[in-house]
Amino acid sequence: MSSKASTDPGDWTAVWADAQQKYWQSWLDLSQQATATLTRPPEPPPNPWTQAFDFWAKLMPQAAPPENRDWIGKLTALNKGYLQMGEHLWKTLSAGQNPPPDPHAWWEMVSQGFKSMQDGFAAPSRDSQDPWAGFATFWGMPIDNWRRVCSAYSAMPGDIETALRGFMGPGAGTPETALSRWLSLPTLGYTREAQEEMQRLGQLWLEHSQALREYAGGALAKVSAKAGESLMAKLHELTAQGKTPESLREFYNLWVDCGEEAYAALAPTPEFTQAQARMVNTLLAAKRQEQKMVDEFLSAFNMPTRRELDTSHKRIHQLQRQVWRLQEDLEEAGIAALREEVAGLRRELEALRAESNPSKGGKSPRAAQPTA
Amino acid sequence: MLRPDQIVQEAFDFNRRIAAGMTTLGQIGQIETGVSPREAVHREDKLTLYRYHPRVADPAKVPVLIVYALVNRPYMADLQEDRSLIRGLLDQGLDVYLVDWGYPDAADRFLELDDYLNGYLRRCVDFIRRAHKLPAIDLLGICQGGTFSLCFTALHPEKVRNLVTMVTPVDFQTPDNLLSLWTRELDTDLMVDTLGNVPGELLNWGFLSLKPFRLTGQKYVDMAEILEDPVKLKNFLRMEKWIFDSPDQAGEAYRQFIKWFYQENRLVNDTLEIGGKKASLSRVTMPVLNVYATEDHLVPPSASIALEKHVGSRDYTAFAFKGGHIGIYVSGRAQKEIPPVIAKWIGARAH
Repeated sequence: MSSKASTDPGDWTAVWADAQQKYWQSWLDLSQQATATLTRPPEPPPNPWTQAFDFWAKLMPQAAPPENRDWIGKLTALNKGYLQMGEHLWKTLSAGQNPPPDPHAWWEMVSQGFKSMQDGFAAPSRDSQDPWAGFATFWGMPIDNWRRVCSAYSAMPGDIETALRGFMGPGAGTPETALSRWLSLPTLGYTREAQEEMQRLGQLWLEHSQALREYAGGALAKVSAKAGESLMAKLHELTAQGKTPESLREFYNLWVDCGEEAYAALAPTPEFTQAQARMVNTLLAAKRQEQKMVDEFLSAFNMPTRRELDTSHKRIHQLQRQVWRLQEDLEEAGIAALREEVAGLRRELEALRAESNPSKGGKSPRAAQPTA
Repeated sequence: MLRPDQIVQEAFDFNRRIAAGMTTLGQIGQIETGVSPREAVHREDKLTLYRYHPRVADPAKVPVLIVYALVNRPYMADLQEDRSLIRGLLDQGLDVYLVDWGYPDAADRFLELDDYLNGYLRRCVDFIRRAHKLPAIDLLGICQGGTFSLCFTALHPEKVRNLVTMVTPVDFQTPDNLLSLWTRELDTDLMVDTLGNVPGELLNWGFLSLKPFRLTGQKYVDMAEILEDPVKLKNFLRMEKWIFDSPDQAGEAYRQFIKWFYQENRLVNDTLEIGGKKASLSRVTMPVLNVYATEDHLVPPSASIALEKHVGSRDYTAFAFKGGHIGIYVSGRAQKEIPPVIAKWIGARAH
């Protein structure tokens, strides 16, 4: 694509749409051919749709106008989960006899394929180094969102939680223990205190990684399993009535309903609320340690630290409150003075009226005059 | 019955919409919010007090001040021309003011609830009272702003003539309040001591986590269906902008709000003190209209309707809107129902 074309939103989207059409047409042909001949379609490569989607997701933001890149990246990532579900369903239904003879046969096919579908979503991607990758895509965003929140607050370069994954992945009990032991070693010598602070930080990040794993792999995984069971039960109920979902979208919506139901049942439980709170609290403890270390570093360079800034802000705030109070007092005092003045004027007026009308009990003007 | 070729066709259509939608996205331009003409009449630090231009020749003599929450931006109440609570109220003949709290920064982290209520909000109310030569005005509090309005009214009852609360949490510990359950386990001191101001992203994560399947997945799949319609897409993006336009929370005020309201439920336990003065709901003796949403996932109806048991007023009215926390401002039905209900209720007490 020429540089000129890349600045024109019409050009790059047209190229993208054309490539997509060709890709999807080939899959449509394949499906229709299998349906027409009642034969099994050729074995597809693993995850062809989502792989293609990933490929586009990488290419598109580069081709898109800069102001839209963020949006496009977000949109493609968010819709990937939907396509993944379609892909798994396609595989499941293509693997059997086409077309399914009745809803019960359809149900048999789907229920057999669903378990592998769910495992595929819930388990980490085989090619990915990230243990939450499959899970995050499956759910849409919660864990991914959390990681973004964590990274945004980190005072350290990069994402420490990600860096610790090697020690924390599934089945990594031994390296984790080893790291924990290493972080507990007594420190020696000239840099002893600095080493201790670093070890403390490592321990806190390990604790957060552990809490994150318990939340994602424990609490949320239970929701996922429960949602799967619920979806199967609802599909079974439908097929017993001679019905099946009429579209991928209907299937997806049913899945979302089941997911929300399962989540609503588990999210208020003490197990879930405590796991979530641990995840947040452990992150904050690690951040606190980071701040302490960063402050010491800044202090060594005679630069202002967070603590110093907080002290300044607090004092400014205290001063501002005092100013507000003084203003209020002044206002109140001013109003009191005005009231006193008005009362004085009233007294004077009454006295003058009385002087000008002595028949009503007032004194004569002369008598009312103050003596020198 | 769902068939493989149908799935491919649906997936293709879905992808085609996304591709076509990229062109629409590229051309959509700026997302404007806040449509009703207004002017800033008072500013103080980050706060701005706005007065909206009346839309009738002879607006109500006593103005209504809208007190919005700290956790989101107030333009939700005036999102677009055909979805605007404020416009609806103006059309009903009310004279509308709005407090915009602004975006706190690090220098604001020591602001307390006392500063917000006995300071900023009181000065706004006094400004309007002076400008209109009135002893008291009407307050309309939204969500957390409703809780603030209740507290303010309890502290300064002589300055409030009528009080309207919308989707307002009062009892923070009803069993169906998920936010409350989650919040009770959090180490709020550690959070504020560590972060200072509490970032809006963190709060957003909590709100999205209330319904993760719908709010982080299904919503964007739905979006693919409107990508080719610029008007619907713009409406979607406007709402999206509002959802993620989350100010950071001034640290000390956040600490007090979470501990006093969510964790200790002081408002209904009648143990709330702000700025050394007791803020007891029994002091809220003026007429009260409490509008709540029956499908509210952020402030469950149980949290709102608890007000009736604790408020000191004998003139208490509750209005149930059949919808959610957001729908009560932006749904088509809300435009027809909510402003007339509020205006009629205030009008009946305009003596």
